[in-house]
This record gives sequence, structure tokens and C-alpha cells, in this order.
Amino acid sequence: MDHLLEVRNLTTQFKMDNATVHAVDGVSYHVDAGEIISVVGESGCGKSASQLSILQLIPTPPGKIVGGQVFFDGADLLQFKSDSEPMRAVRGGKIGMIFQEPMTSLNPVLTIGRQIVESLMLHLKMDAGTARARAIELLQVIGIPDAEQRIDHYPHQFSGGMRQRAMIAMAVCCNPKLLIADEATTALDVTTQAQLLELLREMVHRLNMALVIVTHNLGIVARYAQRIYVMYAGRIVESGTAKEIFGDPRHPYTVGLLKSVPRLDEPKGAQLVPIPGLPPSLTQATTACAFYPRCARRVDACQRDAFPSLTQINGQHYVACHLPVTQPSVTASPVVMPTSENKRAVSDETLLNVQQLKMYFPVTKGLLRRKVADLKAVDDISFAIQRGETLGLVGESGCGKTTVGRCLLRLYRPVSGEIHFEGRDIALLSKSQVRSIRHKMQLIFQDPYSSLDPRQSAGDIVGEPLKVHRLVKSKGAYRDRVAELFQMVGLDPNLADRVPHEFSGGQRQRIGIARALATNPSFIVCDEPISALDVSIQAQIVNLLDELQDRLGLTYLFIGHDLSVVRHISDRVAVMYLGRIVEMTDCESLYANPLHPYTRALLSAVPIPDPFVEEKRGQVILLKGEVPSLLNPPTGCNFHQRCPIATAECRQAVPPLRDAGANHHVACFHWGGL
Amino acid sequence: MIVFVVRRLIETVVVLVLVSFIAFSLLHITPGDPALFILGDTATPERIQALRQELWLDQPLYVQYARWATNLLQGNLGNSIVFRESVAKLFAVRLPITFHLGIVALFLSILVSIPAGILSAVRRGGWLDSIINVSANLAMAVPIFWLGILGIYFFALNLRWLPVQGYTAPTDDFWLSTRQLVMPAICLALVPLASLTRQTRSSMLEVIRQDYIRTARSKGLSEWQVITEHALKNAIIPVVTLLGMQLRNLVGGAILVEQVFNIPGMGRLLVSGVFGKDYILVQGMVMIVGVVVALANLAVDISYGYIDPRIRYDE
Amino acid sequence: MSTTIIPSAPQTSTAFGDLQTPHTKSWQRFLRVFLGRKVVIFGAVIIAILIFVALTADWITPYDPYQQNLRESLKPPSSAHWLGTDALGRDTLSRIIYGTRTSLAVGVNSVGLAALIGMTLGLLAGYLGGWISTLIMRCVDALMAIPPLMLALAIGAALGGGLNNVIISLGISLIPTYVRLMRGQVLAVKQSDYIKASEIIGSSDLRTMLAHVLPNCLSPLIVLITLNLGVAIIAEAGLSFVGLGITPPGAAWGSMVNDGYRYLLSNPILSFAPGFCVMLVVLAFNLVGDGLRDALDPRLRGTL
Repeated sequence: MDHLLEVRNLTTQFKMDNATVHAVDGVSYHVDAGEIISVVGESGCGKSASQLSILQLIPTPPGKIVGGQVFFDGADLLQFKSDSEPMRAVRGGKIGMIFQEPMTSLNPVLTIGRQIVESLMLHLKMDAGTARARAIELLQVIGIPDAEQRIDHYPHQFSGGMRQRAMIAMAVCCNPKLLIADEATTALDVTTQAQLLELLREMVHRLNMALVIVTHNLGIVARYAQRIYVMYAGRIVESGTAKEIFGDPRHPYTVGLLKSVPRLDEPKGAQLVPIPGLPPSLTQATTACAFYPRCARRVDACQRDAFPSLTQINGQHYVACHLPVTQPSVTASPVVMPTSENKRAVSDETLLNVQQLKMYFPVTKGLLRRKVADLKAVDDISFAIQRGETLGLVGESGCGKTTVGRCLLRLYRPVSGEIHFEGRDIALLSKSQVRSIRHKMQLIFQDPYSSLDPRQSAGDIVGEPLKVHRLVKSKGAYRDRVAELFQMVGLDPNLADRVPHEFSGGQRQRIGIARALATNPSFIVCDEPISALDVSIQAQIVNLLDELQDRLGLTYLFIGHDLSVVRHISDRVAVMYLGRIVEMTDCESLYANPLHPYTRALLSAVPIPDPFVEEKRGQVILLKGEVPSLLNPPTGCNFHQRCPIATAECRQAVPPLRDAGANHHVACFHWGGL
Repeated sequence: MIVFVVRRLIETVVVLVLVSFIAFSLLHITPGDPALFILGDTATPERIQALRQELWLDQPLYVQYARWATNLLQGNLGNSIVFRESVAKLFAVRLPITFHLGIVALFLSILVSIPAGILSAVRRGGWLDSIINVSANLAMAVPIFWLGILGIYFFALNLRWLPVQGYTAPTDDFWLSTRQLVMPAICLALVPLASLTRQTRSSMLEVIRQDYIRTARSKGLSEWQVITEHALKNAIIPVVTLLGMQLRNLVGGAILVEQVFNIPGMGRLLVSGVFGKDYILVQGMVMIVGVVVALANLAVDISYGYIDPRIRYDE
Repeated sequence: MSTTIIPSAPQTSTAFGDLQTPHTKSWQRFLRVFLGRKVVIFGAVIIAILIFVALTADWITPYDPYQQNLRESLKPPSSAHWLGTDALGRDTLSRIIYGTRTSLAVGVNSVGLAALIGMTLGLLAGYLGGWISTLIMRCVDALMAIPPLMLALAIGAALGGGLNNVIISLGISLIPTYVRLMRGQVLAVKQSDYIKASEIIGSSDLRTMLAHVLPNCLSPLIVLITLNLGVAIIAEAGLSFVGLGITPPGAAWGSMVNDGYRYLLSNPILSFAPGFCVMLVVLAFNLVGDGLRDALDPRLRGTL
């Protein structure tokens, strides 16, 4: 037994209302000491459930570990009861775990220090004083400033990134041999994610720990993992070293996954190839290949024969497929269309022209709730969008990108500035005046679950704008138009009488898109429309948006935090930081020639799902500290405190957004000197 | 936190002013002349006139309120019509009795409900959970006056374990006082006990499935430590809210329990006042209970600050 | 523009691909959860019997519930009088049967009154906000500072006893919960994206309010109404027991318990039987309310 952890045939089931969910279905894998591996898959594929199962942390009931063995340090952990002494000694002592949600994974009523100290006292038998000193030391190592004070703070006084740092401190405080990071950085911004992943890598190397990264993000896998397990529907479908998986994917699902994610380094005009259909629900015990209904290479045998076992291709590369993709030369990167043919017809007509837009929210304090300050969510930004164009608006959470979108749609009334839409300034129109132009500009929401009225049928949701604006003359015309809209977004019109919860996330998003299209708008704000969806579904929606734009001549403002996605769908991209636009240019030059130091850090933080490219990229540019609070923004350039090239000038004056040539705008005094 | 306390304090004052409006208006929603209504058709005109004078009924409404409220602030609740005695003095005798009964019932319900709720949540789906659930459901549904009568029939009249009725001050005869208080206190504790148990159970179940409980388990803490050190403090927050609300149930229940067990407390006083159309007494009672309940809610809200740091560090 | 569509994956994004979700209607889930538990069925049956008895009381009672017969007074249960007779010789069973009418009438009417007023006020407070909301909520707080039974007694004292006054006084004391719940619901629903969506498509405020906010607020209120029927019935019994509810000779379970109390040693059934009926009916409404809550919205568990 050479492996640090060896999992054999692990099977975990959840008993739901009247069905059994086969969450983990015979999973085997191993981790060696000091190794970084990754378990990758979409939500519901069983990647988290398998990790929780080895520590017996799944909620029982409804969950139950039905079978398998988990060898760790020579002993089978599953022979111990969940609450038994040896199992608890492993948990936290020998295997540490970091969870996804930094907002909910820390106990809100206990101090951060208390939550670290208790582990130290439990596993290392430290006394309270020693443990506290050690905890302060750990917080310092982990990068929390003023650790002596911060140790007595409660989780809600920490930012998301800081909480996740504290979570890491808790997981590593007892020098475990294995660390499991379960989607540990998913909820964080990309620059924070980069900080934390680099920190994790460094900790693991320094303390000679093994690390399991559980994630859906192929870029993170490519950047950090040495070996990879790809999971689908509760089973491992392919495993191997990072280079084997990315360079020579054999399972059709792996191939599909790689083709469906946009890459930061892809040339403009690349087309995503989505995997059709949905992941199975796992309520039926499948004996055959679960990927069969979505597989492009399926044959009858796939449905007839038992689930294919993992077979060795070469070296450490295993795949579970009857007909593995045989051509090792098959390209994993998205299909590229010739750029010249692919250029969208962007007209010269300016559809939307925003000048010096400002949106402040009052900050109240004290007994009388007096206004004490302005929260400058959007602070003097200007841009224009041509008809038929897509402008991407990208930035980290709290940068004001959503507020911009809401101002344009006049959900907010801006403090000052102009919004010229189709030649008319709509910034200060009254509520009823706004209502008369509503049909021309629409919004696609981020969350497909909360943006549809759960009590309305899909047909009513899509048809409501028609009724509100009296766009149809008769019942027949109404029905026809709703059916047309359903077809436009790829939904069967026969589903019109169903209510939202009967649809999957991707389908709901299609309903939301159909609603937005109902009034034939010319301009649509897409507010993170795919970030709540699974990777393979994201590509379907991205392609749909692309296609609709071509067909209907739509103009988009595409708001997002994922630079790869925004870049993929947009013609031009504007990068926001703390309420201001710092750089705005076309997609090609954004990646090839970023001018603002923030943009550079942002680009560098985004991992590219290709280990060969990642190898060559060199050191990640890590930003210092955290994004400052909007309540207390820095003077001068917002970014100067974190900027590697800031000078005295940056502290005093706000750099204007200037044209650096070829329509490339940047708000930095020193862009030329980079 | 200070801002929070001050704001709640102001709210409480506003609420008490509104309670005084309600209490004041009780006299004026009666059909016809209040004095005539109180004294009945047989009263002499002199007697009626005297009462009108006493209640300032000849004055405009706002003057009546102003005088009444001024007296109220000075602790003068007026003179009872039925007992011909100062209402404040009546309360001084009766309030300790009801307080004695109420505090015993309150402690009883807290001491039983919280462990029962936790146990029920931790052993979810087991037989203990079922028993606790069924008992709580029954306790919510049983009319406590009827339960009291049942208790008197079996434990006092047939088994002769406990005295039938009455109240003795613990300072006079502690043993008798305690024996007399057993059944009334249990009856009174029943409704708060049941609802606190249900609330503890459901908020515990809610907390147990939170991510931070999984985090606590992932550190290798024992189930006991997870429950007592991580879950309990979170789960108790909604229970404390409900606890503040239970005071209403206790006062309401005391009216019935005192009636059944013939205890000369505030509840019986209120019933005699209501039957004697003694508005002065009823008004005073509404005011004093309103003050107690409002202050209890204030205390609950402030105690949040100590339980929940998210409130303590707000603003 | 066919150039953007690659030949090997025709129309992938618009294919009717991801349609595997089973067609489970929401009411199917509702019925399955609601009827899935035996206790809920038990409660529903009790309520059905209660309603049936109340409606057919005139035909199914063996005796006139108001007919006094002093020669037959205080008889123990027999084949002629299944539950015996009271001090005035009236048949206890007949009086219990007529008592169902009182309980049901008080329950339905007082809860209906409270729900109507409370929900309207809650809707206004939640939707309008501002000083109107503050005013409404402070009034509700004031009303909540007075225990319901005490408030009902005090109002009853001013108005006098009798069915209608009991309904009014209980109705008033039940209002606060509805205002609070409704306001909380409106505030929560107003935050949803689908309300924003309604604004974006150009709906008027009134349309948004009636078509989207209101319908999505109702589930917990339906549960509260069911649970409150039990609360009102037990409160009416308490009022009648004290003597301020239904006045004699009207048949009410609470006053029957009180009447029988005097004969506890000799005829305990006079007190026991009507009190047991109160418990059974309240239990039934509580069980059905819990069942409704779990079926309509399991997340409400613990809040209602």
C-alpha cells in the first residue's frame, strides 16, 4: 500500500422522497503523498459527495455509504463509525477540508480565533494560550493583516476572501497529510481565487501535504493538478495526468467538456460546441453508460452492455468508454472559424451613448438615519455601443457593473449623466415615460430560478410583455407569437403550460430570454446570464445568444465576471474597477496588449484550460491585499494602493480614460511606460 | 449596538402610548353613556352624575385622555368601581400571586422544552422524536381549563395526591403552597412548553444542516461538541424570540388557570372586573400587562445583541 | 447568417435537447406530501365530520338541546341519553352537537375577519413602506402587547357577550399575526428578480402587485389561517368557560365545561365530553395546518 489515500469502489446513495439518488457509484481513485490531484465534473456528478463520503461527512440520513473501502494510512476508514474516536482523529487531524461557501461555512456566532483554537486543542492537545499564539501565527502566515486583532473578530466582519483564508488556516492548522479543497475558490473573485490557489499550492509544498482540488473549473485543473479524475453521473469516466487528459482526451464527455468552454487565448470567432441535453438525474441505477443519451459517438452496444470499466490507454491514462476517441490528434480547443467570415455586421449607428454616468447610493447612519456619505457605485463612466454590437462589461463583484446595467434600463435613476438611447436622453425620464420605452430595452437575468414567477406558466411568462404593451390583436395572434418565441429560443411550444420549476436551469434561462425578446427590443442587457449554469449548458446559452443576435440584429451589453466568457461573446470589452472603467478595447487587443495594470493582473489570474499553455505562462501576477471598500475609496486612482507601478501622481489625481490609439482606451497615467 | 438599543427604546415608548390609547378607548366603545352602562338602569341619577364627574365624562375626549394619562404616569390607576379601592392597591396584592404562578410555569416550560426540542432534533425520526412530537401536538390542542379540571378530578378528588384548589403564599406555608401550585403551574406551562419545544426542534434541525456544522464535523469534533458548542447558540436565537412572545400566552392562560384553581390573582381580578363592568380596573390591567409585555420584548431584543454578534456589531 | 453555425453540430443550441425533466405537476407533489401522512388524513376526517355535524345538527340530534326537563336532570350516561343529562335535564350529546355550530361559526368568522383586515394592512405596509408602514406596524405592536384572551375579554366587557361580539373581539385579537406575516411576505417577494422582471417588461405597479406579488405571498397565509381556526376555537372555549362568550342557553363547549365543573364529583362526563371535543377539533386543525405547511412550502417549518 504505497498510496496515501486509496479509495476503492466507493458507493454512496441518498434516499429522497421516493427515489434513491446514486450520487457516488463505484468510485476508485488514489492520492500519493505530496501530490496535487483534481476531481473535475459538473454539479451533481458526485465529486463533492465522494469527498464527503471518505470523511463520513455526508448527512445521514438521507445519505448512506453503501459500499467500498477507503484506505488511509493503512487502515480502512469505513470500518470506523462516523462519530468514533479513530474517525474523528483523522478528520481535521490527518485530513483537512476546505468548503465552498465562505459565507456559510464558518459559524457566525463564534470568533475566528475560537474556531481555529478548538482544532489545535483537540488534535494537538495544546493548552488555550499556546493554541491562541499558534492561531495568530497561522493567520499571519495565511496573509491576514493585524492578526492579533482580527483573531477576535466574527466571520461577518471578514470579507469573502479573508473568510476563505481563515478556512484554510483551520484546515491546515493540525498539519494534516491530505487537504481536500471542495470548490474552495468557486464563490470568489478571480483575483482572490488566484491569491488563494497560489497560497494553497505554496502551503502544500512547504508542509508536504497532498491536495485534492474538487472543481468544475477546467482552467484551475490545468494550472494546478498533476493528475485528474473526470467524473460524470457518479462515476469516474477518465483519469490520467493533466497532459494526458488535456492533450489526448479519450472519453467523449471529456472531449465535449473541453470544447464547450471558451478560452482566454482563443482567437476571435471561435465557436463553442455544447454537449446537447442534460446530465441524468441519477435516480435510476444505470447499468449502462450514463453518457449514452448525450454522446455523439454512441452505438447500440453502449446502451446494451454494462457500464464500461476503466481501461488503461497508456501510462496512467484510463478511460471508461466502449469506443474511446481514438485519434490522439483530435483538437481539444474550440473549433475556429475564419475570422473574416465571422465578423458580425456592426453598423456605424450609435444605439446607446452614455456620458459621465454617476450612480450614488446614500449611506445612512445613527439614530435618525441621516445620510453621512455617498456610496459611489458608478462614478463617472462614459461609453457608447453601436447598433448590432456586443459590449462586454467585466469586473469583480462590487465593481458596479450590475448597477451600470440597471441605470441603462432605468431601474435606477442616475444621480447625473446622460444616457442617449436611439438619440434620446433617457437618464432623467419620469417613471411613466420610462414605461413607454421599456419594450425597446430588455434584461436577461443571472439567476434563472428567481427571475421567473413560480406561479406563472412558461407561456404566460413569455406572453406577458405582449399583453402589457398590447402588441397582439387577438388570442390567436398571441398564441402564435408565444409559440414563435418558444421556438426561437429552442423550446418546444407544447411546454407552454408548465410552470418554471418543471424546467431545468438551462431551459429556464431560455424562457427568460424568450420573455426578453417578446417585445422585439433593440437592446438587451445580459446580466451574467450564464454564471449560474453548468459548464456544458453555458455553451448552449452562449451560442443561443450569439445566434439570436445575428438573426435579430440585437445589441447586447454583456455583463460578466468571467473574462473568458465575456471576451468570447463580445466585440469590445470594458473593464471596471471600483465604479470606474479602467480599460476599454476590442477583444483581440485586450488579451494581446492589455495596458492597465489591473487588466493585466485580471488576465493573468484567469487560468486557461490547457496545461501546455499554462506551463508557458509564467508567474501569476498577484495583487496586493483586497479590493478597497466603496464606502472608503482611495484618493486619486482607485487602484493605486494595489498597483505595482503607482507613483505619487496616482495618489492625487484620477486618471481619465484616454485613447491610446486604435480605439484602445485606458485610464492610467503610466500605460505608456509599462 | 447603542443606536439599536436607543431605537428599540423609542419604539417601546411609542407602543406604550398606543397601548394607552387602546386601554382608554375601551370605555368609549360601549354603546351609549358609559356611566349609565356601567351602573345599569337601576342606578340613581346622583350616583351616575358622581361617576361622570369621577371619570371626567363631561369634558372633551382629549381632556379626558390627558387627565387619565397624567394620572397614569403618576402611578394613579384610579379607583375600582366594584371593589371601591385604589386599583394600584388591588394590583399590589394580586400581582405577586400571578407572578409566582407565572414564573414557575415559565421556568418549567424552558427547562423541559429546550432539552426536549434538542433531543427530538438530534434523534430525528426515532421513537423519542415521535413521542415528543405527539405530546407537543396534544399540548397545543388541549384546552388548559379542561386539563385543570381533569387533573383535579383524578389527582385531587380520586387519588388525593394534591389539594383541590386555592393558593397559599410560600412565605406562609411553603410545602402547602408548592403542592397547591403543582397542577396550575403545569397547566399554565403547557402551551409555552409545547411551542418552545417545536421551535427548538425545528431551528435545531435547520442549524444542523448548515454548512458551518459540516465544517465543525470536518474538524473532528464529537457529535456532542458539535451540538453544544456550535449548533446550540445559533439555534437558540429564534427560540428567544418566541420566548418573548410566550409572556402573552402566560397572561392569557393565567386568566383561565386562576379561574379553575380558584387562585386570587390578576386573572380572577380581571374576570370580576369584566363582570362588574369595572372599566377602571380593566383599563389599569390592560396598561400594566402592556407595559410588562413591551418591556419583556425589549429585553429579548437587547439580549439578541449578546447572543448574535451580527447584531452587536451592526452600525 | 449560416456562417456561424458549423456543419458538424447543426443548430445545437436550438435543438430540443434538454427535455428530460419528468412532467410532475406541482399539485401532484402537493397531494402526495399532504396525503402522505396518516395524521393529516386523521385531522382532515375530523374536520369533515365536524362540518357535517354542524350542518346537519337539526336532523341528527336525538333531543332538543334547549329543552329543559328537571325530572331527568343529572342522569348518568344511558341508552336514552348516551352522554347523560345536565342539571337542567338537557341532553348532553345534543348540546355537544349544537356546540359544533358555535365553534365553527366563531372559528370561521373571527379568522376570516382577522385575515381580511390583517392581510390588507400587511399588504399596504409591505408595499407602500415609509411612514404608513411604521404607523401600521407600531399599532400592531401595541395590539400584540395585550394578550389575545385579555384583549378579547376587555373588548367583550365593553361590547357584552354573545356570538357576534365574541367573533369581533377574537377577530381583533388575531389581526396582528396576519399583518406581520403578510408584510414580511410582501417585502421578501418584492426583492425577487421576477418582480424586477415585471418592472422591466413595463408592467404598471398595480399589475405587478396583483399579478405577481400577491399570489406569491399566499402560501404561508393559508397555513396560518388553518392553524388559527384551532386557535380561535380554543380561545372561544376559554371565553365561554369564563362566562363571557356564548351566553346561556346557547350551546358552547366552553360554557358546558364550566357548567359541568360544579358536578365534577358526581357527573364528570358533563365536563369531560365537551372539553374533549375542543381538543379533538383543535388538534385536527393543527394537524391539517402542519400538513398544509409541509406540502405547500417545507421551508416554512419553524416559522409558523
